[in-house]
Amino acid sequence: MHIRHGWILALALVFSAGPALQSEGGVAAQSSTFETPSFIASVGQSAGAQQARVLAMRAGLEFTFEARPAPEMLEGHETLIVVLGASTKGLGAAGVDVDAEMAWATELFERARESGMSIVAMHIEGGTRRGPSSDRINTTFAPMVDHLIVKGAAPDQEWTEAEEANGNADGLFTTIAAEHEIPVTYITRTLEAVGALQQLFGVEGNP
Amino acid sequence: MLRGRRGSWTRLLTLLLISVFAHRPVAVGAQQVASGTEGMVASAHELASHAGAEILAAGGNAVDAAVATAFAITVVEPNASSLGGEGYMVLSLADGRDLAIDFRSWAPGRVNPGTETDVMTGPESTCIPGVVAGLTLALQEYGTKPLPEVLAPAIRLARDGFPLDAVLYDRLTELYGFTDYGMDPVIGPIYFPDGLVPEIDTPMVNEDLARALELIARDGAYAFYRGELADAIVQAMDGWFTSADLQRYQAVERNAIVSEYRGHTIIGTPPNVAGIVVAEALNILDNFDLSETGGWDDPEAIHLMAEALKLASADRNPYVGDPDFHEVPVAGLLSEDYATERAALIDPGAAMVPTRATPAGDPYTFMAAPVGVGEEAESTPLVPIGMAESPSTTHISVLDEAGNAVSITQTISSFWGSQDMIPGYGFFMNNELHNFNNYNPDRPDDLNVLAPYKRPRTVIAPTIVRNPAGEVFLVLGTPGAGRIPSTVLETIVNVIDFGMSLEDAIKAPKFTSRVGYSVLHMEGGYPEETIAALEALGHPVDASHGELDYFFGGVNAIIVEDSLMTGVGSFRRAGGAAGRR
Repeated sequence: MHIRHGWILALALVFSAGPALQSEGGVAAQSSTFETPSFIASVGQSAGAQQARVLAMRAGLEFTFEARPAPEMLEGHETLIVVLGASTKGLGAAGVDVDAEMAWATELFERARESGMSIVAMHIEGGTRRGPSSDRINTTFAPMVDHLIVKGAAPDQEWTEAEEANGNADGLFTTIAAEHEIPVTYITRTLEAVGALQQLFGVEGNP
Repeated sequence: MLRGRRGSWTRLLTLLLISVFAHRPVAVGAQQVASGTEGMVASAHELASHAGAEILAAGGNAVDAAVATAFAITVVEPNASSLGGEGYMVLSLADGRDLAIDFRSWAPGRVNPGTETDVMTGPESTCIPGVVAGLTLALQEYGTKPLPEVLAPAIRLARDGFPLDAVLYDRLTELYGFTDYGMDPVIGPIYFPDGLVPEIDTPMVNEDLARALELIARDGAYAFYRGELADAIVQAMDGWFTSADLQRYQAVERNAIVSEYRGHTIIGTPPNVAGIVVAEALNILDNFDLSETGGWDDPEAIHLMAEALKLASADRNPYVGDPDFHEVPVAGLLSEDYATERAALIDPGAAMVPTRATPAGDPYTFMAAPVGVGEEAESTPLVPIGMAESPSTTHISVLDEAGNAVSITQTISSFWGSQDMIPGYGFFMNNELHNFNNYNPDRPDDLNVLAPYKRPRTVIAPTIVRNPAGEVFLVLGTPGAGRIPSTVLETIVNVIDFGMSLEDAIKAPKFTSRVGYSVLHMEGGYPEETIAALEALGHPVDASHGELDYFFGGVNAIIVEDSLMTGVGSFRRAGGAAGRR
């Protein structure tokens, strides 16, 4: 995980407190700013949402998972976690196209905001979810959230993993975060999202 | 998909380690395009190609290397083929014999014409597998190496692991969604050890598969069809297969079909796969001079090829079925006079539309002893073929220094087959059953109706081409479901008619035309004016596909020019070639 400097997060994880999250835009974010129960959904119907479900379980979050919920299902939840990224097969299995998915997601976001929910977006499948359809979703919904978790290179980070695993090779999420003053947590491996979620939600435990 | 720099280095390091520890003469390192003079292997994964090249370097012949590669590819590309799968092998031997080994899967004994065929997952989507029988038969009859030696590279890859590449990562991401998010107790520990899709370059170890391969190395096909593996399969199939079903299975040696195209000899698969379609379409094209057209992107050339493919595929439904159940008019379908008659149906100025109205011919009248069937044959009503048709399957091409050539296409039908992994043995079962038709009283002559121990009709087309001097010139094949015949044909035409290098012939955008498709699918990369000209001819064009789109397959091929063998691994996947200099 890389939040400006990896060691900052390490300290933050050790002490489970203190300012640690910082966007490229320079907006500081406090740990433990999000509340449960949370609701995990997919925007784009990729397998990333299912991975987020496993990550949330390992993080010890209290959550509900439904890949494509009706907006009213958000009732009673404090935070919406959306996983961004389009899968042709996933959308096909859901019987929708990207346009329909985006229209549904817009309603979901509106209901979340009307209900006073916070929104966290996760982009955790790297370059696999940076094609044209995925980027329609990424560029539309990433600017509308309160925190981003991105598997990809931070602005000052030398990427040491496979290039395909870098979801921020072109700095898209860095730019979005800066323009919209959204804190962003960069991770290099999917499993690091466990620690990121624990930090955001103030959950103690081993990532 | 482009590969990461770091990934490439990791794979290179793996290959170097394999070379160091293999205790064998070092073969040419695997890469997407490789050259050599003493043997060549091309497959969908560079490590599988390296496995074959390692056997060549140890003195094995093309059959030894092909069998080694075919087992190894089940380890490193487990989404596309498996011990639980099937395939077809075409051989052109240095002594002049051309033959084929049919290791297609069979429907289990319990099925009847009314058994539901529209099942895509689970035991009831599965047919009796043929890969182990076919590969061991080929090795026994035409190889020179003992089974344990040719299986050693595959066992090593399964036990020691190999770095997860981007292509398999994408496929695992799909599988993850199928397996309750990686929590399947059989599949999860092997492919999703953290409950997540592994990171690219993660070592992929499959100890269970290594154990299965070791059993086969020790006991041969007996292990799979009668021994410990058979017991595990029968148990996992939950009554769908019986022990007797497995014991009954046999791979079969058949005559390859042989045809001529511009003085070259085309050696392909006999029915009930698609070698006959490729051969008939090339025979039809032999009535036109494609070299006078502008090449791969010339609408005139595309139109002629598209129409020839429609006509050839229109004959497939009424005349091609399992040859052990039905008499197939192979001689008529391969007749050059018949092809001339079919070619006369092509209007240079207009496409045959709608596609499914393309008429079937009457090949029986072009046979020495007409059987009298099919005088009024028409193209049978077709099951709609949509974009959901999986571009799965895998292909292996091998050529040795002596001139023995092997072309294998093997498959589990859909990616990940039935999605059933045999517990404790680490391989997936096929889902071939959906390739059958149910009995339909409106189509009483349907040759592809489900029956016990029958092979479903499919479209694989491993092919070998000899030049006018009689020497092996091309070894090729591709995955890609319904696109297989067109992609094989276009690659051959690109090389022979348009004089393209093999690499360029494979990279060139592909189209697919088939009586089962309502549109002319065109890969990204064709000029807009080409598409417009084809539309003006009446072709309903779908040009929404991307460039180098794996929908159009992934040719793995070898060409021989001036004694130099060039192997090309698929550009539409992460193919690789390896050989000996």
